[in-house]
Amino acid sequence: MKKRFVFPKKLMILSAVLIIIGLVSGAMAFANDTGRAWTNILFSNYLFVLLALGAAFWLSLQYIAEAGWSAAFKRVPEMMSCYLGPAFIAMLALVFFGIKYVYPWAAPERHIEDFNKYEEYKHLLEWKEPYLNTLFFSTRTIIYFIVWIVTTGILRYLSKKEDEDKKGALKWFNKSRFFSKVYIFALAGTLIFAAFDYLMSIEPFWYSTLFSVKELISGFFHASALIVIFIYFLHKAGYYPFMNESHWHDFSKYLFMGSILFAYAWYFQYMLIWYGNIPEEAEYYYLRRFHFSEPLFVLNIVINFFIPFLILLPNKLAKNPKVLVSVAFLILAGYVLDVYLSVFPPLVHTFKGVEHTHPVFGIYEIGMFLGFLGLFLFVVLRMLSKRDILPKNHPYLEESVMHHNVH
Amino acid sequence: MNKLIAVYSDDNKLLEAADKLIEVNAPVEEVITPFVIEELLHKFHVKSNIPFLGFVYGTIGLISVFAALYYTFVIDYPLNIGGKPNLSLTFPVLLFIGTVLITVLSTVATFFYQDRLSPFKEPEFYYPGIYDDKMVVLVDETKMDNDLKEKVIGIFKETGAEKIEEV
Repeated sequence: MKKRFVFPKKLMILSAVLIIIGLVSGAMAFANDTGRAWTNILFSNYLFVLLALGAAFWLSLQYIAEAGWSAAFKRVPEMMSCYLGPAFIAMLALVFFGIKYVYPWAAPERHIEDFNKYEEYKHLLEWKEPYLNTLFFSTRTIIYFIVWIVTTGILRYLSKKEDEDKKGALKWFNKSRFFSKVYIFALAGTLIFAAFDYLMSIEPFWYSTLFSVKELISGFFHASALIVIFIYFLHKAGYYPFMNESHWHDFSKYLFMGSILFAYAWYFQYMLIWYGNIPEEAEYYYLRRFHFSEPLFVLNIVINFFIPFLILLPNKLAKNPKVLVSVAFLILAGYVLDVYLSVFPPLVHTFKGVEHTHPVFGIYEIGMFLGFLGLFLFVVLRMLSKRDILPKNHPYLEESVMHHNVH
Repeated sequence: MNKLIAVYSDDNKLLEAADKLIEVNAPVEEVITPFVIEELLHKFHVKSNIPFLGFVYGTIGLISVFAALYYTFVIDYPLNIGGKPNLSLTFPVLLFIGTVLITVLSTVATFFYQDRLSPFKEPEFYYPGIYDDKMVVLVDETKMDNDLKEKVIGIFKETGAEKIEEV
């Protein structure tokens, strides 16, 4: 068995090419339409930040549940959370330079063209000013990322110590368990406000207290899908030769459970707003469903819930790695769509040459998304190649390698 | 009664005995264990149809709950609640709860029926300790000739059964 992941040359070139595509299309976007460029940076960066956070959440869950089967795979989610470092820089750039292009509360005159409407809403923005102002917003961004980077960094540090400790690593395992709880609490406390800030404040007059819960669930669910993809390709390259049906089945349980959880989160927010039918609240879904694109709106829940649910329901399909990885890709496509539907609908009318609120998915969106994808792949795979792929001295490692479900 | 029983308190010994019993084609009627030993189910090719039936009940439950809701809310007594359509988006909540209820109750009923269980029923077989740590293998004596019977008793002794009895 190969002990250490070797970053293949081809993948390195691929991620470099992707980053270059991203840079080129980013530069083009900045030259043509600055607002669109910043919107894309928010979209792609937020998407991968949430995946990194969700991966660390997945890892923490394994620790606090003392799950035995997943011990061998913990390196993948660990290294996925490394993306938070580069993401911090991108988000800081957005906060310091791009804030007035994306967030209406920072530059109302840019976003609200109708003067009468602006007068009508002015007092609301003034009322929210103590929270939604540029200074406090950037302070919050710094706090979030420091909290996230420190807590996930501690988890990585403890796991490294565990690998190096020759006397026995139970001490480090117990510490990791404790810091997993710390991370989960820290994530809960920060993501509530982070989701409000980054996504919800794009529409400063709308609010939903369920929004952050949905984002947390979405991050967890889609990160498990991405973990499955990473594990699948690592397994194919020969890094986890011991994997059997039981491991795949346990991974598929996460996707199955996650799809139900996501559907629940999607439904409770939609249903309550639909039933309450208060204009300020219904605006959010009205815009997305009737103005933006009804097919995309329905497609979101279909590929995030109905298809994975029905495919992973039969036992035989759930244990098949090929089926599992295709479902994971589908779920990730659904994730991109979900974040797209959160970010773009209120902003497309500010893009150059776009009159109506219809889906805009052009060369800039694709190019910049690919750029961030390349960055994410590069960071994760580079960090993955720095440490042994299997943890050492982990108390549940043996159990994970020998894992066998009898049914 | 005509049953030959062997009592074990170590599941590894029991599994060893199971292998040998299968080899000689002994008419094993039942193995009673205080906890689930999944390998035994595989060895004796015991397959439960309850997961599949659970799915069927779930489907039936979903359809029937939807039918009931549709009948009450749309056909029989359509009320205007806040201007919302009668075929409301709140249905999934009730559908979910109703489906789970129907599925669980029918699955439990099926389990009771298949295992011939019911409240206040006298157990068909009882041996002291089968709810603590004793594992009991029941072999049907009427289906065995003397030759096979000796072989089976030999297997029990060989694998270290604590007690071999005829009941």
